[in-house]
Amino acid sequence: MIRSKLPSALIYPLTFALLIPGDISAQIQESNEPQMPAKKAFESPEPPKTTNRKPETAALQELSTSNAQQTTQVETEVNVTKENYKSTEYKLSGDSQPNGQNSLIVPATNGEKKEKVKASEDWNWTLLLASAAFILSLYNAIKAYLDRKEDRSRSIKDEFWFRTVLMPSAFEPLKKFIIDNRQCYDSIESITDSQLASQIQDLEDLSINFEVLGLIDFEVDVVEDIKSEFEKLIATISIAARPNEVYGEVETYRMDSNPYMDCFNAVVALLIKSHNELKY
Amino acid sequence: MVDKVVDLSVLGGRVFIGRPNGKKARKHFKLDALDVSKDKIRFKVPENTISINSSFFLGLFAQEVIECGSVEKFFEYVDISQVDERFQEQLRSVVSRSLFNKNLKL
Repeated sequence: MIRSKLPSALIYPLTFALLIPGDISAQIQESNEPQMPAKKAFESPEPPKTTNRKPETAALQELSTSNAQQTTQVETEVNVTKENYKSTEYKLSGDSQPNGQNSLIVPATNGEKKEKVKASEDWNWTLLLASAAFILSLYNAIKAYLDRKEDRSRSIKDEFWFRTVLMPSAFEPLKKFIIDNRQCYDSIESITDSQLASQIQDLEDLSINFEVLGLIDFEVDVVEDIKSEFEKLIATISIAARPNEVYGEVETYRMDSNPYMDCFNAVVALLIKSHNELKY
Repeated sequence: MVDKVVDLSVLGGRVFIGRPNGKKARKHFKLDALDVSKDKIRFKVPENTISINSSFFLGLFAQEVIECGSVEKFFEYVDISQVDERFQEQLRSVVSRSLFNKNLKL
């Protein structure tokens, strides 16, 4: 309660006086109190002087020898500290302060350099963080731009060309043709010339529908690969329907399996592969 | 000026399919020796032919199609008037589509 009402400037000297026994503490306290607030007194570069000072009380004039020695010790310590004043530490101590509670750290003049160095280091860190933040934001901006570009390309190639153009115009007619004709392979020898010619023409038209894939960027030449599958189906059907009437040598599917399904599966596999390798 | 006859009946068979077979026929008829600007080809297809597919025809005449650069010029060089009408339409379509795709760089 008492402490809370006291000015803060008085707290430090009073505390210090309690820690130092006898008249030494009073001596030091008296020397500091009138000049400046207690805290500033401790921080002051001027060491407390105990000599050349007019005694203010009778008690001070009757200092015992032991007390005088203590005073001398304090003076010596203070003087030594004064010599080292330009170093970093100012130490005031007495016999009664075993735990060094009254030791004070006082910034010396070269502390300004330390402050500057510290400020410089802080500035370096700030600059580093600012640079990192700038690079990160730049990276984010570029990545966002590339993502948008890729999304747009994906939207055009995937959504438009694949789903809107290719699937209804090429894939669905192929699927219908395969479903309609796959059963007729069992009796392929019995089809007429015009029926065979019609089937070959239908397969030609179906393969042409896939030429639209050439407008999309592919790693592999998918159009030629798909056309080759149709060629194989045409050759297989022609040889199965009219053996020895096909000019030259041709590549065929296995004659003992259903070439319609083989062709369909091969085309689907090529489309999936091409779609996976599509560049966006 | 050379008036060359390319008659598929000499090759044998009624189904002409595949680009390799078209190139094989090209060698057979020695078409590389002809000059597009001076010579002429008369193309003949047997009556009983079932099919000539686009790959075979382009294997046979792809170089001439590129050299001529247009459907009209090509069919001035290659006369198909003696070919059955069902094949005439098909062959015109093949040449036209080939030139279109070439311009599209397909």
